[in-house]
Amino acid sequence: MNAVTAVNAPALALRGLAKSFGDKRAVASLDLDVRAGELYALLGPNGAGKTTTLRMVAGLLQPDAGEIRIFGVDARVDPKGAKRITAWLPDEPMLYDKLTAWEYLEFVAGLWGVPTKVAKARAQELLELLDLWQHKDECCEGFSRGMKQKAALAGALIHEPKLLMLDEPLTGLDAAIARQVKDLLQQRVRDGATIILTTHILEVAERMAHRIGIIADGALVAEGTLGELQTRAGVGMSLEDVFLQLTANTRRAEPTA
Amino acid sequence: MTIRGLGGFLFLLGHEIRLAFRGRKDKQRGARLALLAFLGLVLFAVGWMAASLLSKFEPSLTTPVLLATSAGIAFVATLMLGHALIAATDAVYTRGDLDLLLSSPFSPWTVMTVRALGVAVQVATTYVVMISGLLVSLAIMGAWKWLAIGPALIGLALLMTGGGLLVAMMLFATIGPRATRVAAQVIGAFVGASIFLAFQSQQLLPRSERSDAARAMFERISRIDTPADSPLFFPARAFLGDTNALLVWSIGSLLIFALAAFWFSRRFTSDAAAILALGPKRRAFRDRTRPFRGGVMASLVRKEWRLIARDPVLLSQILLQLIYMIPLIFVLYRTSSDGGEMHAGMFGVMAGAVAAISASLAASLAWLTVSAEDAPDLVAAAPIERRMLERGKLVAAVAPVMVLAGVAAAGIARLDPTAALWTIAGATAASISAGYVGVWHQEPGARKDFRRRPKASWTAQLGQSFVTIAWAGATGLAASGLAALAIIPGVIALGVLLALGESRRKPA
Repeated sequence: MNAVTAVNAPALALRGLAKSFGDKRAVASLDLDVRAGELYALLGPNGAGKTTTLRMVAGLLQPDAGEIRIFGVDARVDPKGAKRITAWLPDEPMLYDKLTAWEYLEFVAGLWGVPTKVAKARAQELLELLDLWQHKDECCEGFSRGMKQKAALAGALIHEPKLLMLDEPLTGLDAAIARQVKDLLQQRVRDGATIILTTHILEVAERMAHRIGIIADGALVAEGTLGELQTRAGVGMSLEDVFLQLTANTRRAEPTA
Repeated sequence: MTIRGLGGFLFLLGHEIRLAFRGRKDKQRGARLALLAFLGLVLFAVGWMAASLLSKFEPSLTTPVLLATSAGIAFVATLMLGHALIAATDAVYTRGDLDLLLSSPFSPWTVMTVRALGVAVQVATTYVVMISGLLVSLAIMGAWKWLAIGPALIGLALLMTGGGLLVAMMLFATIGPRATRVAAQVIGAFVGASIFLAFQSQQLLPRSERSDAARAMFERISRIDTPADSPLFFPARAFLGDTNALLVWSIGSLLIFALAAFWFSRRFTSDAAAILALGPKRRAFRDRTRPFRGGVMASLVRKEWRLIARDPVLLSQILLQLIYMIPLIFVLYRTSSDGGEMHAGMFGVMAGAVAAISASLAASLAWLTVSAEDAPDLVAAAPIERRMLERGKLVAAVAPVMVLAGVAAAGIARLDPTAALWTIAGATAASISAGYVGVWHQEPGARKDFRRRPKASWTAQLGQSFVTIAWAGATGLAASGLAALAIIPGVIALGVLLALGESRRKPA
């Protein structure tokens, strides 16, 4: 059963979100809005707070302060309702070595309470779409990095989340598999899903994202479409130039080995 | 620093030893130090008592004394051999740093020799620590001759490590790299328990013959007239402080270990490449695509059982915990064959043992289902209450244990149904309690670290031990017909459980 979600609410609204680990401030009073049906790229240097933010949205970390609303559902008040409509895919695929791809999808569908008939049809569709159908009865431990990432993506999509969050989804994938994943994500957006992804591959953000947010030191330092960001930074600037300019302070502060 | 010569060798050896003994969580350093201090005190107290007895006598090199000492050495030797065999295969298979080390400028031979030496240090240290209290006490009391036990024990550790390395090599050559790991664990565990099982095997005899058999054995032993200077007693003479024997024993053990380590290193230099090339097995289950089955709890339980059942290494490690249940089966089998009469106290021992073993198994399985979850983010991100998740994992851990406990209780029920009821009740309480402690005080771990899990969370380990002992005591008393007395350990178990529940970890 789907959670009751507000029709015109943003897919994700963060207000004053904060999280510290001991003395280290990971996210500092972050405000962020992601619109329904858009692909939003969250960029930032290492340690900027991207993953921590998404882990809080996914319900894996408790924020110290702030508000998280997913399609109007307050994730801190109704975590189950929020989780039901979201999916989280970390940079390392979350798989079980000794389960087959088919059994993995069966397990994930069970966790999200997808009716078995629906789950089976979706599993078949996803595995076929991702060229994993012929490997469905193989244990995941024998999969290549790309196959594992695709199996994990299939798991993230099996309950048809309204909000899909992906942390570095294309890292370590060869060109062909990366293209497959990108095509699938864009198809999902066309079908109405909202996707937030973090990436260090700026070309991915340039080509795929409707809007880009740049985060540094746990705070949003810039946001907009690629064109808006370029305009703000100056004529002739690439996204890489914009990114480097906006995060220069953070990188200067990074300790050197 | 040079990587050649002795400096490099010692650098690598230091690395090996550090890894072998390193605890996992620095934040628990306080608790660990307290526990170590407590264990140190216990070892010293026990050692002092033993030393007080020994120091009254000079080691005597007579046949009966040498015979008894030899039996003790044989017992320790089997434990060491089992330990060494498992440690040797772990050193090659489990650590996963061979790629790094073999790609370094160290020669492969050096890497493997140091690894073999690391196994010897690990085995020797374990046993030397156990007798450290005795050695210190003997030194304080000035009983110098008895101190030969220390170096003789190190010699035995070297010898048995050499044996462990040779057995590992033989297994590798005969059954191949994949099967060696499981086989080595099974053999190691059975060798380690062999003397215990051999002593218990007399339980297979009918009761009437059992005392005769014991008497006959003692008579046979007393008739042994092997002269005290027989080479058979050589190890015992070394342990009892015969200087010449000790010298030859130490040098001989060192040479045999060096030879075994040399062979191991040469052989495993090439075999290690084979192990590294193994990679994960591409395992397919053809024609096994089944219709999806739903249900949150069922999905969790099914997943956990599949993961355990498909991992032979893990499965063997879990099932080997049942070795010590074998004597109970002997007793049940024989009592049942003898006509079904058994002393009430014996029912208590059996029921307590079943409860303790059940709790130990449940704790192991709970560690696997909870702490060694391969995809913690996936299950945490699912729309399930944390409590339900924990309950599902607990069911997955406890249900198989209850099946085994049920079988044991069924055996007892043939002799005494009431004792069987207490057995199943105690096993259930102990298993659930041990499982819950594992859930409450979980520390993330990897399945491959199953054997090192006690180092992951001292709180869980200590808590599970306390609760297990208390429930086993309660079960034993109740099954012996002392149900009123059983309330005391039962209440203690519940109290400890309550305290552990209150101090449970809060999610981040």
